[in-house]
Amino acid sequence: MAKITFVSNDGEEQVIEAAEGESVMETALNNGIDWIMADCGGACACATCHVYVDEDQLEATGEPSEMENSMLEFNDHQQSNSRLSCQIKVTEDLDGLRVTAPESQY
Amino acid sequence: MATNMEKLVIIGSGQAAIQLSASLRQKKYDGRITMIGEEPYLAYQRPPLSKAFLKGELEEGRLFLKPQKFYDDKDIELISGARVEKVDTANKAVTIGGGTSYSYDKLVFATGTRPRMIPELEGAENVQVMRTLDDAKALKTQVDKLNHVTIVGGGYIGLEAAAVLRKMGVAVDVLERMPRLLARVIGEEISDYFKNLHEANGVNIRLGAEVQAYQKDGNSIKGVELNDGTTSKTDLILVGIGVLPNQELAAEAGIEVGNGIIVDENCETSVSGIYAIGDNALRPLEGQSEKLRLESVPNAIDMAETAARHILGLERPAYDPPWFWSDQYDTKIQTVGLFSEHTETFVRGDVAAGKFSVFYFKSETFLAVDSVNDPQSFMACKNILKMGLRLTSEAVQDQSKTMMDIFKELKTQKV
Ligand SMILES: Cc1cc2nc3c(=O)[nH]c(=O)nc-3n(C[C@H](O)[C@H](O)[C@H](O)COP(=O)(O)OP(=O)(O)OC[C@H]3O[C@@H](n4cnc5c(N)ncnc54)[C@H](O)[C@@H]3O)c2cc1C
Ligand code: FES
Repeated sequence: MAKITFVSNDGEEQVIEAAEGESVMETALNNGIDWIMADCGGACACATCHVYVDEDQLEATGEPSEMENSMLEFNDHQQSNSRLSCQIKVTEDLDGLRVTAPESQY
Repeated sequence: MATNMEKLVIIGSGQAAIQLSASLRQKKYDGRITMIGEEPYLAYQRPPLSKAFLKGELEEGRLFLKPQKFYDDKDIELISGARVEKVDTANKAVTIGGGTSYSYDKLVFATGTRPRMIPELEGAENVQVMRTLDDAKALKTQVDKLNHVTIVGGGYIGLEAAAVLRKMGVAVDVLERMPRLLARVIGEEISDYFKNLHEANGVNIRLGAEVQAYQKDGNSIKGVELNDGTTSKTDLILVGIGVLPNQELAAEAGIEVGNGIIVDENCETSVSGIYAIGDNALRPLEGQSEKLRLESVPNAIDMAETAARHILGLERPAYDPPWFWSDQYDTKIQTVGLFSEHTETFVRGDVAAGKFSVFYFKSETFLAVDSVNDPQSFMACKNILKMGLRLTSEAVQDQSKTMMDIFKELKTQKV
């Protein structure tokens, strides 16, 4: 189990116990986080599951693939700490992770 | 509960139906929402059925688009395992098998499609289609016992299944009547690429193949004889020759249909207050003279969002050009736009290395792109089409620039 905090646009925080093996995107969808769209269901094809990861935790989330980076680089809201949440797999190491909503998913 | 509450009934409980329900609630719709679906499941995603689910990399529980709790929290009533048998537009009510009726103020057809069948194969025990979770489960449980599968139809679903079956060590024949794979949805260069990819993985691709006869042994098909005289053995036949829109209910209720339930730009049918969204709908699309029926998750989402906004009296969403993706082996193809009227094509990237895109133009107008392992071109073109930027064939042919450079230039030219 890993506790993940989801921070919405209005600063509202929700702490969720995430199950290992699922993605951060799935954790969000299964727990009613409505600012993650995930139109493609985790196929790394839509970029509507965009999150900002707290800088000091970026490393723990692993290296984004080239595919993921290409999907993100066209996003108007991309930052150096941008990730696609469907590409982050939940592990124990992610306990305490904080992810924040971008201004918009489109 | 207030009795004057608006009642919205959705026929179907798939991708489009759940998206509409979620979108309405997110926008504070306060009417009653009832989803009636024939399948005995919560709404689930179909794309993994022929990919990660079949391969055993994604278990059933992860297919569901929303958990039960979502339905409870958002007050979305789901009546599953129930088929709507009749729609009465005069009395504004639908009736399910068994006779229970539900009245509505607004009605939505989100009924999807069903696979076309080959009449001769109807009822044979080793013939399968791939549309529902039950279809995928049925195939998955048999895989271990199969040596040889024949896939009739070289479309996306058949090819995705072929890729998975090969990985599991099953011999696969793909029979395609047309001279190339995926002929209806992509250009020749990409068809060739996929043919090579599948052949390199050991799939026996037969183009221009007409079946002469299915050889039966009792109630099962044991072999397939083609018009060129060759015969091959088979343990199972997977039919993937396209789908038919589930539109009969609508037609019987007097709603206009063609190759799909006909809707306007708000997803409203010929009867006011009745909508059709998703795979079953024939819709107008920007730049197209005729209405089209699209079969994709993004289309279902876009139409659900459009209908939700119309129901709430809100403005239509921003234009989202049609797009699609498919995964086969380690190849991802992403396409955006509609290529069918193209007169010219241009290839960028490295075909041999399996990282390239094909750009489709009609004279000087950019229509669409098919990207193979090239998300940058896909995303650039998605934005270009969305923003109405003018991509020229000259720019596309200048490979000294990346698609990111080209996109940035176009964007600055516009402002
Ligand atoms: C194997 C497979 C792989 C796919 N891969 C991709 C992909 O990679 N990318 C992509 O973009 N798209 C893909 N698609 C297409 C995508 O899944 C569909 O476009 C999408 O599901 C359409 O949603 P829908 O709600 O219109 O229809 P559906 O999801 O089919 O839902 C319709 C529902 O309505 C129910 N229904 C019909 N009639 C009645 C009735 N009278 N009463 C009650 N219920 C009824 C049906 O049982 C069904 O459950 C794939 C589809 C399949 C089958
Ligand atoms: S869900 Fe589509 S890219 Fe993450």
